[in-house]
Amino acid sequence: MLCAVVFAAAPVHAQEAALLHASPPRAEARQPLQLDATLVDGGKVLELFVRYRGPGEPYVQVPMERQYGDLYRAVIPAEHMVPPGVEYFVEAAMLDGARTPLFMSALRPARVMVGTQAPEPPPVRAPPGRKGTRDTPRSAPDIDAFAPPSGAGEDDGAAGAPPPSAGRPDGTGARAGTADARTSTRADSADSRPTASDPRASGAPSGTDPRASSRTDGTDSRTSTRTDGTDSRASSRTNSPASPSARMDGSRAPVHADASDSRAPARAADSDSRTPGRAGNGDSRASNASDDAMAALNADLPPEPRSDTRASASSHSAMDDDLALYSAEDVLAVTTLQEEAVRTVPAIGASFNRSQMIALGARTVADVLDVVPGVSVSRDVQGFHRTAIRGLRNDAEVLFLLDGHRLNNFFDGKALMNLPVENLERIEVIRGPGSAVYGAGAFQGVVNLVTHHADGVRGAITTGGVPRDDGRLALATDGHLSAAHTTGDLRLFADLDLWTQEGDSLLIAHDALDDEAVAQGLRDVDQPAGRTRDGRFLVNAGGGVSYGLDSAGRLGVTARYLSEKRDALIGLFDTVGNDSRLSWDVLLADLTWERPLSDSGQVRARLGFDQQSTDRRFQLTPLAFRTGDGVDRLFPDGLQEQTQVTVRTVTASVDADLALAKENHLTLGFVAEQQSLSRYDYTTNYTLDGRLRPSPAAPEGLVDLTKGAASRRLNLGLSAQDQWTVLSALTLTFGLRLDAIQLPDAEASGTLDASKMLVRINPRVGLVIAASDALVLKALYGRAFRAPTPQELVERIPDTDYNQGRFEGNPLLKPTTVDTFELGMDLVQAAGDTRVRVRANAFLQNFASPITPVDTSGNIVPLRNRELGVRVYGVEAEARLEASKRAVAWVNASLSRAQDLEVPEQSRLLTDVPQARFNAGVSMPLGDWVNLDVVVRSGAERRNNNRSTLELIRRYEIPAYSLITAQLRTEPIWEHFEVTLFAQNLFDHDLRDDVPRPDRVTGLLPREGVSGYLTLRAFY
Amino acid sequence: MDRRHLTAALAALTLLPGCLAYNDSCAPLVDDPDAVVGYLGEEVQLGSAFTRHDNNALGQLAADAFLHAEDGAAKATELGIINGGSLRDEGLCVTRTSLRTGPLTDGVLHEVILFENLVVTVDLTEKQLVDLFEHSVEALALEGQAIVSPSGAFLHVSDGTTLRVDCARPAGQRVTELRVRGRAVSIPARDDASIRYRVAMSTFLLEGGDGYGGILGNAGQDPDRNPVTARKLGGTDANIAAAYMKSTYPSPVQALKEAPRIVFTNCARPARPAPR
Repeated sequence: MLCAVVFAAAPVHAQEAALLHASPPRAEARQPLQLDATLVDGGKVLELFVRYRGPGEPYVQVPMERQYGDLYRAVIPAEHMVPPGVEYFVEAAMLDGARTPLFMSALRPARVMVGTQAPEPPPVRAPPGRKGTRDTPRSAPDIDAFAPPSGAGEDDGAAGAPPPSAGRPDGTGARAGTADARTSTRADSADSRPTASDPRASGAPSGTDPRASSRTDGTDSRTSTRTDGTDSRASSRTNSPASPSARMDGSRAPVHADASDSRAPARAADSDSRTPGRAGNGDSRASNASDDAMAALNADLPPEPRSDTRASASSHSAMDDDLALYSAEDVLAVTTLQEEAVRTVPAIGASFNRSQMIALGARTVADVLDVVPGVSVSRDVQGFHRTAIRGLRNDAEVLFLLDGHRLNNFFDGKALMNLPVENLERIEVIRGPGSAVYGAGAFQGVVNLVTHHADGVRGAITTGGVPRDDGRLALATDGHLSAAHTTGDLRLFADLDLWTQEGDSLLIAHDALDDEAVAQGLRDVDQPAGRTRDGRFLVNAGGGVSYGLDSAGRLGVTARYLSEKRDALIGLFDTVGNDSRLSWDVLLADLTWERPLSDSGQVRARLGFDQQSTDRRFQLTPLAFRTGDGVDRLFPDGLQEQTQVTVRTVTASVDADLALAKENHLTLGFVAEQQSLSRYDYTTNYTLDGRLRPSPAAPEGLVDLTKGAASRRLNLGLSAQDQWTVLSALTLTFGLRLDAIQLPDAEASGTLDASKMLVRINPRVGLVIAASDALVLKALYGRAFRAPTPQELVERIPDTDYNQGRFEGNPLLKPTTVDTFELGMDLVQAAGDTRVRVRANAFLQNFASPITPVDTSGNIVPLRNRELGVRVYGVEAEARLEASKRAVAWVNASLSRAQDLEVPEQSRLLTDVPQARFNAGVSMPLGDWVNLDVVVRSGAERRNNNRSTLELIRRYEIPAYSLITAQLRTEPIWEHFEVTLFAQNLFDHDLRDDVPRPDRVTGLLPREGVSGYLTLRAFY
Repeated sequence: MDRRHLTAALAALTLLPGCLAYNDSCAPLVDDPDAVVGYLGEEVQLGSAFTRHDNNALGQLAADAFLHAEDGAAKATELGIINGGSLRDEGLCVTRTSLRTGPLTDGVLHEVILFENLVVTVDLTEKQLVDLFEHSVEALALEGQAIVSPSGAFLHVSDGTTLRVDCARPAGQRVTELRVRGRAVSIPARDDASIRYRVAMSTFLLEGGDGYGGILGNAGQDPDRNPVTARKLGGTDANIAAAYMKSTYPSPVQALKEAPRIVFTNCARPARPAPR
């Protein structure tokens, strides 16, 4: 309607080009979409382009061909017409070389839903983009006229537009019956700014505007409020005539004024506006698994005729749409098994999508995790990446999932998580226990890696490396290739990542065997102990197929194989062991079935299998090392030990999402899991008294861990989580998880043969209040637990002179629990084109009986439950400012304080993890084709803990660090390519890592020299 | 709006460093760290070669204190031992290579003997006793060799006990003479479980630390061995040593000096700094 007004005004501004075009609300999947438009006053227009994008993808450009007269046509190819939808805008290349959006804009593109769902047909609608311009039927109010926004300022001055009704043959009548007042106010506003039509109305043509129609129940109130709102807006705009012209896309401010005006009543009318992702998702999940942008898009789906939860949910606020679309880090599925907007999910979470990962310059998962507030990633001397969350670091307490399948190894809790990100659609992170959905292991946090399965072919190759101090470049190359295709009911995907790196080689001045090596003449006293080695070869290959069985749901099979072979960064026990070799093979397989239920719920079942084999061979001493005099005390290859472990897990799970009522959503789950340790071999090439063995063998007294109760574990979990939207602004989540877990019963029998079932109940309560559209408040409580790993329970390596400092298992360990209290807020503000989001939360976590190795003797490090527990509290905050799709700045900071309550006051603080982290990044366009991304990561100084005397006297200070990365990244070239040039640690500010024994590796552990990489990505 | 957020973020940033907190590693371990517990008659070296490869005055002080931990018990303690690894030079916030002649404060003594192990007195067989000392000296360096990473298992002995060690002999046969309370112990040990020596040591050793587990077995839990944990002064090694020092070496005249209780033959010796 408004566009019609504008259209009417267009002749007055004859010098400005305008485009008449109607955007279809919906299109068929896999059918090319034809877009027709009429160019008015196109004297200065050289060419027209349609720029379109799929969800979360960059814009692709197609030219609009002139058909005849002033009719232009473009076609979005069939392969890009995939659910949930596409977005596009029309841009003109002007004679003077400028490019000007004529219909919508990059920031606010028109949105076309793609899919099979038939929307409620609009009453009567003109065929899209009819050439009929002025004689458009009255029933087609969805024609927009856009003049270049750049002209808006001038137009403001030339306010001599005819009164709306005069030049408008059809507009007024179209809505006259429904919203007189609105029409007229609109007209007023159009007066002052004829070129900047309300893009909301035009973006989704009003007749079929999903938002409008979804609010049908509440439209009356909305219409009237809008009237009020528009009044004020019109006046405010008049007061500041200069501002619109200053904006690239002058339509922005009114949109938001508009949005906030109209939202409140609309929300009140529609009860459930808080679960957009979930609601939208339910339908489409069957056809298109996990796609965050999809959820965002689907949130906009027109309501089904039936007015169930979903229908009402789809009417959530327009700003939510904007956010979900632009700040695409907004959705995660890990809390409720349903995709939900991060800002409203009952957990403190973060989600990184592809474009964000690319903008970070991240190459691996660790690179991404390290910029999450509250999370720190470091490496230990063995080269393992270790994830600390909120000031505590324990491998077994951060649950890593790959497409929902657990990656943590049953034996030691470590996860082969540092995968290349090229294959990932997004990374979801929950700090805190997160959810009743997950049981043991989801303790300090949950990280879910979601692979990219959208249709198409994608490839990427990155090469570069680290300049070593000998002048050579240590090459690192990784390649990615993936493809997914849907044919009818059948969906296929396959992907492959290969990673190879030589790795940096940095000097280590001293190690644990410094004195011995010098005394034995293996090196001079002034020679360094050795160098780090960081070679790595990784394969990540996956594939899957799923088939839609019509009413019987969808059946899928996926399999994935991960294999890593690498060097130890230094070695074991702080001794340089360059011949150490670590390999890790993981096989994951899943059979899944899912089926939507008639009442908009969903039921899913999964049968999963995984096997992990690790083979870690460590060189414990230098070559030609002697443990004494005599032939059998000379070790030409150094003392060596090798640990080979194989674990298997079989999982069966069923879960169901049920919409009990319009505002009540229940998730029920049952999981049964059998874990087993099927191989454990520990061999050494030396005897306990330090003599050479003819061939490696198990030392005397080694316990066979594959026998006994600790080697098998049955986990049964029952979870129920209910989300109840009490008021439209208030959602309560109640979760309860019941876990029965099989643990060895060492107390009863004195041996490890007996086992007992231990039952734990873990509640979770969440309160999410949408105080206003801009502000969401959360109050959360959750309890989680984790059982000790078999390694913590039973691994006992006989102590010798050369493997001192090893953890010693304790069969009496109890599970540990954490109670977490969190208060969070999420604020979104828009000003002009700029959007600012601020998120902050405070937390308090009480760990009861934490399982912690504390070095008390230096020989063996006993594991036990710390009776008085550990307490952590802190704050985390992040802000993100988006000036446009390409111009983004973000910053986050976290501060935590962890205290071990078992030690005296003055020694309580746990400071081996940075207490404060600060990360920031800027992405900005450099011209039309290149973007610059700069990311700063910094962490506060770390110091040794003081829990035991040994910790107290083994003092170290790892200085505060800041690590800066920068990259140049192109916009898509020829629509299919993207190139980035990336520099890691630009200023070579050393990021020093964990040092378990600073008295041994005295110079701390070096890592992260400058490195540079060139990446080429291709997608089709 | 933006500016407000920015200001808030900047304010938070400037506050962050102030929010960092670290343990005060210099916080004294005792209430009155400056209280003088006694006097040292000579400089005491704290480097590991001196605490783990030679006689050491503070090691001998602790062993003597252990010996007297259960004075008045029905069966007198015959021997006190402490492993060299229990004497530390790292200190709480400064590393001390030596302690000067003169007054020794309680704070410093607790930093040197800082593990706060409990002291237990227990009966050992002769075989255990001899094995104990064989293990103690098996890693000693031969004369002419450098003393490299000396083992913390090296034992200091109490007054009345002497030990002769010949580093030229193979490990396991290095103890050539052992006298406890002036009484010679048969070398090699007689395999007679009824021959008992009452020995005071730290729980660290008794629980198998520094490789003594195989030798001491479960002596700490065996009622037949009559293990008694020291009660006085909280039972910790440092407190017991401090009290003993206070009573035995209270003045510069009666000051602590090292005694040649372990006699080394063919062993490497740490080079002592020239006396000042």
